[in-house]
Amino acid sequence: MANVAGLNDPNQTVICIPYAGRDDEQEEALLSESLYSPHQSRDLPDGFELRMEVYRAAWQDCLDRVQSIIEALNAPKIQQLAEEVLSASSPSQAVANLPYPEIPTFCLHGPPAYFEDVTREIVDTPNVAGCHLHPSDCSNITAAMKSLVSNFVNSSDTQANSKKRPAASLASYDINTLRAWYNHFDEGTYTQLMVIFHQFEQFDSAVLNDLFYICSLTLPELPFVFILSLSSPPTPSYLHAIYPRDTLALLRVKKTVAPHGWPLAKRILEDTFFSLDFEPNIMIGAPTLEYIVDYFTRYNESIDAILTVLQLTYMKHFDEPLTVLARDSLLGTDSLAEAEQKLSEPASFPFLDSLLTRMSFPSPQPDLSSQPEIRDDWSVMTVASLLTSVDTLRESFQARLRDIKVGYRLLDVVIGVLGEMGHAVGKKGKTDVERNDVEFMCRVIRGRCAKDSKNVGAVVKELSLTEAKELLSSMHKFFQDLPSHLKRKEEKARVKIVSWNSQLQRGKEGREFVALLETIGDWVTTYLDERLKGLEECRLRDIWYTGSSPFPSELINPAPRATIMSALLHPHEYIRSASGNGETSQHQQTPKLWELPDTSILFRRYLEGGKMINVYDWYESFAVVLESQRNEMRRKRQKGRQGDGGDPSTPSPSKNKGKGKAREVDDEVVSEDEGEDGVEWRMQVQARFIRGLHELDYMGFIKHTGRKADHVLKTVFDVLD
Amino acid sequence: MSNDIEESHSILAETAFDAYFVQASKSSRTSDHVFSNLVEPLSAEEYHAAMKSLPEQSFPFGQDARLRSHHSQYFPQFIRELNAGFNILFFGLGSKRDTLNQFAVQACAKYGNCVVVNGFQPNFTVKDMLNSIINIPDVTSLDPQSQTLDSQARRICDYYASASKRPLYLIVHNIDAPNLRTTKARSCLSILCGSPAVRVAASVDLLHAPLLWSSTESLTRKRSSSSVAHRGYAWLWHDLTTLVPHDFELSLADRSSITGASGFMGTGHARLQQDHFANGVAMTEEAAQHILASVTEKARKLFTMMTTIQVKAIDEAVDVSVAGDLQQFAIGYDTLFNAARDNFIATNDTALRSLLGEFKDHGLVLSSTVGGPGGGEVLWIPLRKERLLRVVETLELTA
Repeated sequence: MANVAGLNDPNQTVICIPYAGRDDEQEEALLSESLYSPHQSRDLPDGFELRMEVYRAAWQDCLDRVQSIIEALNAPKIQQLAEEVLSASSPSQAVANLPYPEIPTFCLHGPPAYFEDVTREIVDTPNVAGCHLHPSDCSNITAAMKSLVSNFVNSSDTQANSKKRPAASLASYDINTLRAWYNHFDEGTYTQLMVIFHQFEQFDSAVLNDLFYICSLTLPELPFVFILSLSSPPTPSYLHAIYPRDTLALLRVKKTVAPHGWPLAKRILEDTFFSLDFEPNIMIGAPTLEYIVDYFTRYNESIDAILTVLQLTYMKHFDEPLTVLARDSLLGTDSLAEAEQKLSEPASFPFLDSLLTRMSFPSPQPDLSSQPEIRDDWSVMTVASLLTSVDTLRESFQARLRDIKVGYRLLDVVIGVLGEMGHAVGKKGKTDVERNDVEFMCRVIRGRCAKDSKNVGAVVKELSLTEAKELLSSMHKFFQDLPSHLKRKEEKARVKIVSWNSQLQRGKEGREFVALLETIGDWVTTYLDERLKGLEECRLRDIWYTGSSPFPSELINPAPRATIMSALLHPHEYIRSASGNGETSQHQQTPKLWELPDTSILFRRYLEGGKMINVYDWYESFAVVLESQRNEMRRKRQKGRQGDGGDPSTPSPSKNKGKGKAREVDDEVVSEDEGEDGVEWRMQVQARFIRGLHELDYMGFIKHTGRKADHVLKTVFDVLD
Repeated sequence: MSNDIEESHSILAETAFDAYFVQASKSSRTSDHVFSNLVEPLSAEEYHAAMKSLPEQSFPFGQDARLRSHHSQYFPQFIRELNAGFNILFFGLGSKRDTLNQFAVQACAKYGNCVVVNGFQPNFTVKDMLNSIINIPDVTSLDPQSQTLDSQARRICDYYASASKRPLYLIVHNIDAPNLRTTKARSCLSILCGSPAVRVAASVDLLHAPLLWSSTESLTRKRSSSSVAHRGYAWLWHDLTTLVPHDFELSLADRSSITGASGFMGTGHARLQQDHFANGVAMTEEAAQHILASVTEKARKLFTMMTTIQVKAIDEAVDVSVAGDLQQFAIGYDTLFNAARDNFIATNDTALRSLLGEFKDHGLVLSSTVGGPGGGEVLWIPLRKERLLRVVETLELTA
C-alpha cells in the first residue's frame, strides 16, 4: 500500500491509483489470484470463473427477458406519446381564441427509466432540439436561464454549424440569445424546442414560475414543448398543488401514466418464470418471490427493485460449486470428452466427489415415476456417465418445470373463468391481491396445490350447461394456444376436451350431463395434480432451483444504525466472530466496562445520561472508568510478571538482598505510578476523552447546542441491556 | 406508585422509545461545571504526545488486525458485485479508510484505473475529484473545457463507456461528508454512480447516512444511455465494522475544542478557529515564544516573573485534580505591581499597564476581575506548568 503516493497524506483530497494489471486481455487470469469461493473444499480449481461465466449467461437471459417484457408493455404507450408530443406544436392542437398561446406540457408520471425511454424516442427525432434540465441546474433564475439557453445553443454547435455564433454579444442567460440562435437556422430546421425537466418535484417552484413566464413570452416564435418527469402520483397532481394559476394558465397540460404497480410486477414474474415459451436457467424459489412482494409493497414499487432482487438471488445461487452445471455439463470446455478429462484430473476430485455423493444420495421422495432411473450404484459410474446423467437430470428438471407451468397457467385460466361466472375458488386468507398472487405461485412451485385442484374440480361438477360450455371452450383455447413443443405433449388433453365439447354441443341433459360434469371435474383435478408436483423432489434440483434458501436482504435493506450501536455496545462480539471462535467459553462472559475501548465507554455513559449531557460530568465519569482500567491493567501486569518470574517464593540469586521478588514488583509499580500520575496521566485521559467525543460527534451522536455552556444534546436514546 | 412502575418494567421490555420519553419528560439534571473553564484544552502537540504515550494494552482491541483480515477475504466478492453492475456502500463502526484503500490497491487497481476520494477532507471539492479523473493519463484526451460539473461527469462516463476498455473504480471515503452532500455534488455523483463503466465503493459513518438517498434513488440500476445522463446509485450495502478509531479522518479536527469534530468540516472551520484564538484559548508554546521574541527586555522580565509566581502557586496547590483551571493561580494586580516595582521592571502603574497591554492583546496574559465591582483585577498566563517552564527555559537560553 505504501507504493501509492499520497494515500496516507491527510492533506490529499483525491489520489489516483493507475491501472496495475497487465495490458493484454488476461483479466480472467488475474481474477483467479484471489478467488472468492465460500466452498473451496468441493470446488473445481477454476470453478469461480466458470460459474461466473455461467452466471453471466443465465442472468443475461433473464434480464433480457424482463426487459423485453417491459419494453413490450411500454412500447405502444411510448409510441403514442411520442406522436402526441411531436404534433403538439401544430396549430391545429392549439385552443382557438386565447389571448396568448399556451406551452404544450406533458406530465409523465412514472419511473425515471420509463421517462428516459420516452425522451430518447422523442429527442432522437430529426427537427427536434432537446434540452435536459436537472434541479441542480436551476438554483436561481439566472442559472436556470443560462442552462436552458446554453443547452440548446451548444448542442447544435458541434453539428453542421460552420457559421460563427450569431449572438456572441448577448448575455448567456438572455432568452434573446436563444431567439437569435433559433432564427439563424433555415426555417424548418427545428420545429420544436423540447425542454425536459428531470425530477420535477425537486425544482424550486419560484424559479420555474419565472422560467415558464419568460418562455411563454417568446412562444409563437420559439416553439417550446415541456416534458415534466414526475414520480408522484397523477392525482392529487403535484403540478396543480404547487404552481399558482397564473403559471398553470401558461401551460397546456397533458398527463400520462407509465405502466406501474403490482399488475406490471406480476406480469414480469409470470412471464419470466411461469412463461410457456421461455425457460430460465435458474428457477427462483418461494422465499425470493415472497421477498419481492414484500419489498414491492412495503418499500419501493419499482421494477428496478425486482430486477435487483432477482440478480442478487442469481448471484448468491452461483456461489454453490455445483451450479457450474446449470446450463450444460461441459465445465467450460468444448466437448463432453474434454469435460470428462477435466473432471478426471486430481485437482477436480473434491468437486467430483461432492457431485458423486449428491448423485448417489437418495432423492427425498422415491416415488418419482416420471424421473428417469439413474443408476444408484455409484461404484459402476464412470465420469462420462456421471456427466450424461447430469444432462438427463437437467432435462427432467426442465420437463417438470414445463409441467408445472402448464398446470399453473391452466389453473389460472380455469379459476379466472369460474371467477367471472361468480364461483369463488380458493378465495381465502389474505385480502391483498399481491400476497394472494405470490402465495399461489409459491404453492405451485412447492407442489402444494392439491387443495386448489380439488376445489376447482368440485366447482366444475356444479356448473350449468352454458357455464360448462364456456369453461371447455376457454380450456380448449388454452391448449390450442400452447407453444408447439408443449402442444404435442398435451395433445391427449386437448382431444379429450374437444370430445367433451362436442358432447355438450349435442345437448346432454339430466343424468348424462351430471355424469359428464363429474368426469370433467375429476379429470381437471387429476390433470392438475399430475402437473403441479413441485420442484422439491427433483434430483440435484439445487443446481437449477434456488429452493428455500433465503434472500440476502441485508444487501438492499440494511440496518446501519443498529449495526453501529451494537458495535459500540458489544465490540467483543465482532472480534470474536471475526476470529472465528464463537464458542470459546472463557469469552462468553460479558466484558467489564473498563475492558471496552474508549469510545464504547463514553457511549455507555452517554446512554445512561439524560437528554442533555454536561461535557464536564461526562469527562469525569469517563476518567473514573479509565482510572479503574489503569488499576486493572497494573494488576494484570503484576500478575504477568509474577508468572514470568516463576515461583515468587524462590528469590533470584542475583537480586537476593533480603527482598522477595513480589516486593520488588510492588516497588516497581509504585515508582511507575509516580511517573504516570499527575499531569501526564491527566493529559492522557483528556486526550482520550476528546478523541472519543470527536469520534461520537463524527458519527452523529452529538448535537452541539448553544443553550447551555459546554452541554451537548443526545441524538440517540436506547436502553442498556 | 414506584412499585407499580417497577413491576411493569419486569413485564414489558423497555425500548428505545421508552428511553426517549423517560428522558424527555423530565428536565435533565446536570452539574454547573463548565468543561472549557475547568479543563485547560490540549494543544495539538500535547494531544499527539498523550496519544503516543498511550500504552498499547489500554486498547483491549489490539486485535483489529483480525477484523481487517476478515474483511479482506471478501474483496473478490466486492469486486464481483461491482462488476455485476452495483455500487457498494460500506457502513459500520470504525474507520473504513485503511480497508478500502487496501481494497483499491489490491483489488480494484488490477481491473482498471482507480481514484480514491477523501471526502472527509474539509478542503475537498467535487471539482478536485473530476479534475483528477480527467488528469488520469488515458483520459487526458477528454475535452477539458466543459463548463458545468454535470457535463464534466457526463463526459467522464461517456469516455469510460466507449473509449476505454477498462472501467473506472471510484473509492469514496465518507460519501456522507458535508462537501459531498451539496446538491451539486450529489447530482454529479449520481451521474457517475449511474454509469455502468464507473464503479463506486463508498463508505459512510454518519448514523443517519441512509437518509441521504431516497429508496428509489438508491435502487435505480445502472444503465448505459447515450443521450441523457442516467442518474442512480444502485447501492448494495455491506457491513464493514472495523472498530478502528477515525484518527486519520479527524487528523485535521481541532482537538482543543469539544466541537472540533463537527466544526472542522465545511465553512464553519475558519470562523471557529478564529474565535478560539481571540479568546486566547488555543495559546501554544510556539505562539508564546513568537510573542516574547517581539517584546522589550523589560516585558520579557515581567513575563518570567509572572511565570515564577504562577508556577510557585501551582506547586503549592494541594488539590491536584482541579489543576486544569488556571485562573485559580492568578496573581492579583497589586501583588504583581509591587513585585514589578521591587524588581525595577515598572516603577509606576502606567508603565506596567503598557507592558501588560502587549501580552493581553495577544492572549498570552488573561485578566479578570474578582469579587464584584470593588474587587481587584487578577492576571494569569493560560499555559500549563510544564509548558510555562519550557517557554521560560528557551527564553533564558536565547537571552
